[in-house]
Amino acid sequence: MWWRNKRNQDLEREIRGHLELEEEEQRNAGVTPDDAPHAARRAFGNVGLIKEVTREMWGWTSLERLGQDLRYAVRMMRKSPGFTAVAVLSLALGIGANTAIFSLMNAIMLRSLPVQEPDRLVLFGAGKWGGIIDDLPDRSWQLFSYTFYRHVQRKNQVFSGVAAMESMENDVRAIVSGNNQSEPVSARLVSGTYFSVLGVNAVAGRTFTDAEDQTPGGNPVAVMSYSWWQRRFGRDASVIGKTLTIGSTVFHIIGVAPPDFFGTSVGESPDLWIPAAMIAQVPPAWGGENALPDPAFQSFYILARLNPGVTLTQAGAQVNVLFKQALRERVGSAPSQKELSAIQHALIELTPGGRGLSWIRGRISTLLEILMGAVGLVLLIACANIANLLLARAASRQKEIAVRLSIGAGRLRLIRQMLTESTLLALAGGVAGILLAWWAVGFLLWMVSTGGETLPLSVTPDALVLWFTTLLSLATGILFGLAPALRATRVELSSSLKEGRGSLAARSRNVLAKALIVSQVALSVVLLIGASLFVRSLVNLRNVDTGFNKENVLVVGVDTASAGYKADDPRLTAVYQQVEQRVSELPGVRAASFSIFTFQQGAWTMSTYPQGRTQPPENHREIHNNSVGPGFFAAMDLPVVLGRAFNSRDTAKSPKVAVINETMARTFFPGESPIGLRYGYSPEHSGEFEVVGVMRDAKYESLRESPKPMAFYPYTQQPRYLGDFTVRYSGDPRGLAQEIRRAFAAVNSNLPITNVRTLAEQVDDTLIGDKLVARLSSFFGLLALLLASIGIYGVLSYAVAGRTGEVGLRMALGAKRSNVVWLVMRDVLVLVAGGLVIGVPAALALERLASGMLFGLGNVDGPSIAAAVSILALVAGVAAYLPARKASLVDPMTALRYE
Amino acid sequence: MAKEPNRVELLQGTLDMLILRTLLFGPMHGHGITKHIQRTSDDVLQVDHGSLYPALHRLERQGWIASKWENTDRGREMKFYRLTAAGRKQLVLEESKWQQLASAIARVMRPA
Repeated sequence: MWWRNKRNQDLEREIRGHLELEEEEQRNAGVTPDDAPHAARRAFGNVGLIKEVTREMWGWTSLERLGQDLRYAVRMMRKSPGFTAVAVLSLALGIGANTAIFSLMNAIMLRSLPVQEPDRLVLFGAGKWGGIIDDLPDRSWQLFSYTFYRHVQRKNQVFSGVAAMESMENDVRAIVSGNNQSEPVSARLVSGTYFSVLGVNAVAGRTFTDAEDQTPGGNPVAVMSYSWWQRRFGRDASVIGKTLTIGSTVFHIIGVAPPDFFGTSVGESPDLWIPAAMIAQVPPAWGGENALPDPAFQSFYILARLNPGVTLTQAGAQVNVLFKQALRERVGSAPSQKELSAIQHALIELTPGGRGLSWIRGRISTLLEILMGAVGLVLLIACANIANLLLARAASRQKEIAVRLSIGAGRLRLIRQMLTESTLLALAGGVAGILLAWWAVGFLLWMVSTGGETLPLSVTPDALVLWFTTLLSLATGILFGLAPALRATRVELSSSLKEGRGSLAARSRNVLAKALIVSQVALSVVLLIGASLFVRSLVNLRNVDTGFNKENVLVVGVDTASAGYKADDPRLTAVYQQVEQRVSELPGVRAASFSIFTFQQGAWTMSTYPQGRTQPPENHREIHNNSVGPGFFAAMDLPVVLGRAFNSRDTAKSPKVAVINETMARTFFPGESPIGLRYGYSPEHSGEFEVVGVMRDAKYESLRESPKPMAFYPYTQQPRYLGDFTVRYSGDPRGLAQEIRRAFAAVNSNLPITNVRTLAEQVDDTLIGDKLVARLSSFFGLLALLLASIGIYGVLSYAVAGRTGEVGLRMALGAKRSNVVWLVMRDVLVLVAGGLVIGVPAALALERLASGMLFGLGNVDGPSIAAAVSILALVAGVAAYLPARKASLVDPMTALRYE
Repeated sequence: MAKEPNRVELLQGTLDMLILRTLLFGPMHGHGITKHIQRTSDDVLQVDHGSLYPALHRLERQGWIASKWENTDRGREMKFYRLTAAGRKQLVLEESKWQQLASAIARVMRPA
């Protein structure tokens, strides 16, 4: 450090000058030239001490000491590259895994939307519902009508702006001007105030305004997302002003949203935003022309920006007053008692909206919390390992430390120096960890994404992530460095200097090392038990009886809303029938049918009332429905247990029929055959449907669900836009997809096929979270096992080296090899047992926290514990056996001679 | 070293004031400052070098004095210290504190 040297030289010169002047004066006063220098020095005092005290005044010494410590630390790291590499690598794995999981948590659960002052945004309700609900609100509500949005916008005094977003994305086909092929595009209908309330400005062109959201169908404009602009148009600015044809309407592209703005739903990224007033022009035209003026068409989320100084509670009070006002208007001047009671219970809970809405937040947050816990444990194990390595190294440096202490180094100073070393190691690990995390996060995202498309999330490390990693690295460095530093500097000076290996220090080092081994084993067994639980849970889920046969089935996604018919147009029903007819005739096809849903695609639920039978009130709720073709049961291989399936005689004009499942039959018609009995959607119309068949129970929405009451209707009698086309085949499916496409095109050229998957894939995709957590927890469990075994091996090797003399003596006295091996291993096995005693109950306690992610396992899952404990015991045994065997191969003569 | 009976130890904290006062006459090096204090106090005040140099470096860090290498009249290069504007203010402050202290001690020793 040049400035330090310069100052020292300066001081040197200054004092020399002083002494020379003094000498001169002494000579002038009559002292002989020989004695003058001594006299001058005497008068001056202790030069070295004065310099030292003066230097203290400069006040930068602590920074300087840090510099010294750093240089020393780098030297130590370079001196033992093997140790450094192992330490940095295991820290990089530990810190990297933590950073990766934290980045995901940050992106999904913590980060604010890239909008102006996100803290002032509030969401009406939790934003967890989606779809269209027409009930009169009678509890905490989450979906709202467009008229209510306008009502709040006009009447409130607490918001500086209010915006509404349609809760469902519109997956449409669009034709870009100049092309003749349509392409799939996802669009989101939002109020004209959307961009201004968020404070999001276009990076090119402009966004739309409230004025463009006034006339139904009046302003066909669209704002593009940056990613679509980039992907589809290569960021060509001339696209602005071009047109897009969606359905039968020509839309003008007016602008591009900023690159980091994916909309307000985390985990979704629409390609287009379109004013809500265009709802009837964007297929499937939910609610049609009447959607916006209808107060019962409740399908929107409402997001508002608080006025400065207004609290959530104040805003909530006013919003609820407005809500009840609007509901009273809706029910008219003569409301029934039931309606009044509903309105009384209707409620809007305002929630902070700055982080946006997220369905993946609910799906993934438990999973991420579990993984965060797992990687935290891995990092702790890595810490314990490095602490152990440092301890062993400190033992070999004991003489050096004793020397430094005896010539006057302060203990604090030495501790600080050793902590500098460990912190530097940890920071190096942190830097490597960030790089590792960068790569790992992309991989993780890909793993949690379904259907081959990566979740649109921005996971580039931001300031929060970098802070997290830096603090984590520093904490890690202190965590694994402190104990060895304290231990290493507690030296019995005289004995250390004499023997070179302080016996007392060695013993207490052993106690610490043993404690570290016990904790490593305990942490590893927690991770291993966790991993076996998740793996077994996944196996259980895979073996669940779905009730249908998922093999040899193709599920074709069809955008029937784009065909240009209304949902109940008989011509659309005819199209369905012709496609079914054509595809059924293809070679190898055994059955083919349209339906609203196949598996895990949502539900259509209705309150249901059996005719002539009184029911407990809970039975009226939530009966699941599906509208299907006559071939559906054959295509899904759902066996009819009673009565009949649908056939071509069930037409729009024939009596309305239904096939129900066993659970519904049991719930509504206990103890009798339901065939010929009737039910309906209201007590007044309870004779609407006649039950003609009973179907075996199956899984409909999730593999985890318990049996649900379910009813099927022929689509001829319950016409809908049917999005799924299920085809059961035998033999080789290759080329079948192509044949099916051709059949579709032959019937109607406007029937776009959105995707083709096998039913097995579709079922498997619902297990993505379970697969991820099973795989990653297994990976982290094995990593923990590896680290723990390295720890055991290292500590034991060191201990064995110290006991060579003893082993030699025992063997000279007649001990057998096996005795020696057992002698050495015994110590470690006791430690492993200790770790298991702590770890197993801890794992069981944690299992309860993760029970939501587990499936089909008891409170205490014996096989998981047995598997984890035996793997750990086996690996620990091998790790201990290797050094023990080495000890037993010692030649007694050599060993004794060395002693 | 025998202590000369007519010399007194400097009171804690007064050295800074004396240095600043000495530099009021113009820039001076460490040796000169020592001699000046001894001379003007008729050799009653003895400056300990072990305190002088740390004090000089401390005052410099506080910005009350500044230093520069210059040649003496006899051509020897020495480090000269001079008073800064902040140092002048500090001197006034320390002097008034000193006055207060001295008169307080006087009142205690010789009550009126």
